[in-house]
Amino acid sequence: MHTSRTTAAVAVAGLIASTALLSAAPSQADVAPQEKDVVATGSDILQSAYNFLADGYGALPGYNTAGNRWRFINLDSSGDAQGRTAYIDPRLVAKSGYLSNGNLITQAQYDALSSADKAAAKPLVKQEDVKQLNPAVALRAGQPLVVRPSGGGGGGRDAIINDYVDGNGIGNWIDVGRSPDPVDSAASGQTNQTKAQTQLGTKLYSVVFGRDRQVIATAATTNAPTSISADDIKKIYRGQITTWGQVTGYDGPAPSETIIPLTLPSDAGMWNTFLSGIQTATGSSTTEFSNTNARSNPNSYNVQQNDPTAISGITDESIRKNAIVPFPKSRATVVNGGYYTVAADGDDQTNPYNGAKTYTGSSASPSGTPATRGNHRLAATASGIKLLAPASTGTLSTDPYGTNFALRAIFRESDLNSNVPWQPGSTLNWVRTLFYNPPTADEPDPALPFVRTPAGKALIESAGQTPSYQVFGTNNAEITQ
Amino acid sequence: MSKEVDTSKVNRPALGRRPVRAALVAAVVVVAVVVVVLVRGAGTETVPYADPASSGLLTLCDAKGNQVTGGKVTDKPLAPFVLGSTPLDSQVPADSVGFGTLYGYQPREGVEPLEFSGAPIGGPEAFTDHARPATRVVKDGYSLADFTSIYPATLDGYVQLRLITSVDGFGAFADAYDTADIKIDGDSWTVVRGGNASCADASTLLAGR
Repeated sequence: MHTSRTTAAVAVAGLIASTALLSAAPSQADVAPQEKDVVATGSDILQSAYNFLADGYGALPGYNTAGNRWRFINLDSSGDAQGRTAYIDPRLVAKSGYLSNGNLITQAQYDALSSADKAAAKPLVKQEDVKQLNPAVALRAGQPLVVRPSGGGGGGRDAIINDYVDGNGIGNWIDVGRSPDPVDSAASGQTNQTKAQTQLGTKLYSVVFGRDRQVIATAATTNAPTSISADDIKKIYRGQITTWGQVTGYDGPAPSETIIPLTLPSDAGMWNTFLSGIQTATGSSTTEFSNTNARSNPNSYNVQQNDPTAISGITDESIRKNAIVPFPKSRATVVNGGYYTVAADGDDQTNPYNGAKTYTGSSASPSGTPATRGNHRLAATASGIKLLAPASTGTLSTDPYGTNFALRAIFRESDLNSNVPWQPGSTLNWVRTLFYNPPTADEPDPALPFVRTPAGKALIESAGQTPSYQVFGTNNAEITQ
Repeated sequence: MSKEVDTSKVNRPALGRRPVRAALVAAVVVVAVVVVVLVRGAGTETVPYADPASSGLLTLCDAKGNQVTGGKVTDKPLAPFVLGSTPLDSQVPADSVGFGTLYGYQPREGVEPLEFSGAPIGGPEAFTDHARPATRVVKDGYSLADFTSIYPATLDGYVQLRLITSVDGFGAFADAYDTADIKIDGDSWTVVRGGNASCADASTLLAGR
């Protein structure tokens, strides 16, 4: 338990540091969509692929590179382009105690400390008191702000279903729901389609145009085995397995060491994908492996989703070597491609864009001319982590854990059937331009939508995902292409 | 023409062959000119728009190293290689990889080229020589029929091709690009305004595949 308590303290301190920047950053200053711009919101893990499709990546041009009148606008899930969850400023949360000379002490004990000890003591807050920021966003230029639609697996789907026009005229602002999850699961039947029909006056189509897979990540140097079955992952997160020696077939160097299963924020798309992935692989019900009991391992603690530094940034090697976390394969690809930047914590964040502060990249010294300091950024890397069984495609409880998820767009049937062309001079509406252009009597062999063109596929691949293509109609059944 | 086939001259035995040969040569030349005009059709036309962002002309090439000046609108690809004529921006480091993407744009009456609508037809593809941007058009890309099904060639059948170059870190150089202007007539198309770069080494200008 000492380990877990220390870990928790580290986690809280880390959380305090890592959230300050996010909470200070205004998120409503994004580009604001104009009238006929196509707006996508939803999943954090899908947002990079969508961002690439919209605006390009590196040397690869995106849809908007053509300079057409109306743009494809992709609003990030949390307001952070790297997909991290944003929290309130923990400095504003009531303190639950202090860490003084390695001991947890109360406010009364803190008050009795010497001035020197007070200065050295670290204020602590409870994780559950650090709430999500719920950043605001302008879904249409000049219109009142709303809370930014978030991810969470079905977040993009839910956002579009709830984008009805309210009594204040607000709504019908979201065109595309980014969602790994389908409109309806097999279990829910037509529930969401019915709700969409009721609230929006139309049902929903969805198009899958890429595939990704969530696996388990560890530190590059780890005590973990080369793979862990879905059944054992479930037991680890439920606290039924706590040491490596209890993992099936373990023959590694540290059978007695404690496994540190890292959990993700409850609204994180990757967390919900993890829950459903384990449920499916092990045949567990939603209550058997729920958000609550998947956090019941006493040695677990919460970290940022999609962030390799959740493991590689753990300074205590004894913890780092025993940590595991659900992680999307695509994210490792994108991180190693140099897209993401190292974002130093809190007040230490420095770069040339922020006034007098100078970001020196890998150099510890800010001295020198701008030419020698050079960098506006330091590319993040996933070299500190390792993916377990990344090539596995298994889906059984005894297979190495991994679950496939979709790069999906959900949109209104009424938009698919609209006769209003999108771009000036065009014959196609925006759905047919970007995602799905089925044959018609007049056009039996239509041009491919952008996501199926070589340019679109190159962008999907650059996001670490595998292009594939399926369309699901308003009855949730696949439409043969 | 009538003077050169003057019968008073062709009746002279000693000199008889020379005028006949001259007449035949002249006739061949005339026929050839007529054929070229017919084949290139709109080649003498004036493109009904001027794009101030056009920095040079595009040359379309086939896989055998020959220039492509026309074809069917259903051809996929319309031309497998497209060569630009404007070097990459000099700020681009020599070791950076340039990419070329071929776009089709829809000229419209009364609309400035900056406002044309467009879509990618070929690429993106890495090219090897910063001085000679290029791209590849694959079968999976749009034919001209595909493109005009989205953006009909409503201005006298014209479609503008643009080769937009891009470099990691710099992004796309969309403010200036090489162009070719083609005209569609029925199920055929011809280059009305394009470049004349050598196609002999077109395939070697591309880094991949």
